[in-house]
Amino acid sequence: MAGAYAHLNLRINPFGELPPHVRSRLAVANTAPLVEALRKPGTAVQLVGRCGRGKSSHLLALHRELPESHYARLWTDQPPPSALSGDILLIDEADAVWAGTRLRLLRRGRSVAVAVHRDQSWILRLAGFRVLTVEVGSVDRERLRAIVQRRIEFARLGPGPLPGLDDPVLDALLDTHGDDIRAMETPLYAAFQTLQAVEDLTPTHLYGAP
Amino acid sequence: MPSCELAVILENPEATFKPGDVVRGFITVDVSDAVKCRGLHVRLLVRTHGRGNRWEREHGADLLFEGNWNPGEQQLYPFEFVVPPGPVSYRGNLLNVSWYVYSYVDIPWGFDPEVTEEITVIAGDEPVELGPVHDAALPDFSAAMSALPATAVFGAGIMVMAFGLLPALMIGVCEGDLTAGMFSAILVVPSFGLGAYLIYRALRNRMAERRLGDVRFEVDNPEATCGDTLSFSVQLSPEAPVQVTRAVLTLQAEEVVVSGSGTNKKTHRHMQFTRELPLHEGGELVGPVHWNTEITIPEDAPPSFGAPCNNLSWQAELHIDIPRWPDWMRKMALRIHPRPS
Repeated sequence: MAGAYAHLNLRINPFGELPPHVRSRLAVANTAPLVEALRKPGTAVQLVGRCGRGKSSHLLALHRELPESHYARLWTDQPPPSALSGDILLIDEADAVWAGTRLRLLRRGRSVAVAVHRDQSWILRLAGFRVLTVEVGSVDRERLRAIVQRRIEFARLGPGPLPGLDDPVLDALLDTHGDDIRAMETPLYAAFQTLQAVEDLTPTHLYGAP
Repeated sequence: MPSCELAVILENPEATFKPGDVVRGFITVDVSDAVKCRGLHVRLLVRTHGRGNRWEREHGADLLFEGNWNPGEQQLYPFEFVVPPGPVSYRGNLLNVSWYVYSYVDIPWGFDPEVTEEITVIAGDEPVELGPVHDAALPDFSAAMSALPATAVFGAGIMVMAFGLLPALMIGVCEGDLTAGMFSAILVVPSFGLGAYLIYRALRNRMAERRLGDVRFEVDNPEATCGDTLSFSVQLSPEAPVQVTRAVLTLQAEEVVVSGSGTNKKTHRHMQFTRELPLHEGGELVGPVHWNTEITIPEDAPPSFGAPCNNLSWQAELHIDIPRWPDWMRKMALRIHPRPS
């Protein structure tokens, strides 16, 4: 049976919300050096960046590459998971809890990777780790193209051409949203809802006629 | 490259399925390398997709094969599932509900090949489920507030105001300088605004009823089916003549989905259906007033749906606009079932 997006040769709208295990598969991240570093005990990798820049996707990609790791996401209004421990800990939103709690959590792992909004190297050093900082967020046209193409390819229904994004669209997205990839999902989702056939998106599809 | 490729072949690929129907087909396996298969699984599942967080429910699972496959083998495994009673397939803007036959091979320490094939589920003669959150309609805030004693609601609003006002007064009295004054204002303005809004929302309809008298707003069938005609009735009993700018009944179906979680949580809304019915074009109302109106829900209108983070809610809103006086407004939750095919 043809689905809602079969006319675009897609199963789903590529810019809808995806579950974490799918996002980890689609992350465009160079995780190899981080994986190698985390396998050495005493290493802390901090992924620093503002909201929507891909910190969680990076961390999920690391979790995929490191099956022996333990992943947890922290919340401001919930206690941290008591069972979180192991050789490699991956902690998303690590700055959502008080510093004392954070320090106790960090000391449960032999290596850790944290996704944070601000530099946390002081507390990672206090916990006894060598710190490797990765600024998440810098995105240029080529990286954005890779991210977008991977999402569209994931949504593929069958063999044949797929809708694409040409350079002016990528530039318009970067001009409007900077490096906030999550914010780009809204106009891209809306544009794919209106596409009637397999074609390349233009800036007009995204933001209307100039 | 995966060591084997899967495909779903449905017995009747063009068919649509009703609750109770049987979905039959085969999973084909094309083996390119030797595979130790820990399990060839097939499932029937319903899943949301769109702007909201994904919700998924499994309605049948089968283990078709365990063992080894050799290069060059082509295998065919039959499956069948009985379609459960809903929800039906739905294509919207922010929300889609889709049914899939999903199959995957569990390969130890290897990439698990998988395949999905979408099927369409439509309503049968029996009522269908509308999603796990059956109370898909939005909570009727104004009705709930109206049910509370006026003094309690008023007191709650005063407490919210005092929450910011008291500390602000203490800072102002103790410090008495410009910075303290500004800090006081930061505390006062939001709490005062919120408190005032709560009091207004709670008392708005009571104030309006001082002019309109008791207002009764009813529908003959709050649980209807697409294609049905709904009859709404509004009764007012003003004790004295009252001017009304207009009275409008609005029927709406809105997709409300939530994406992300924690600090990234975001609610998205899209009005999927809306129709306004003017009940009164303005003028003076005298004595008991009775308005009746009917509206037919289109046969292809979206049915109600409710799942975590994914809702399609129907509601009817009555708005009586009184000049220079608080308006009377109330939302009534409806539940609309898909039309049997």
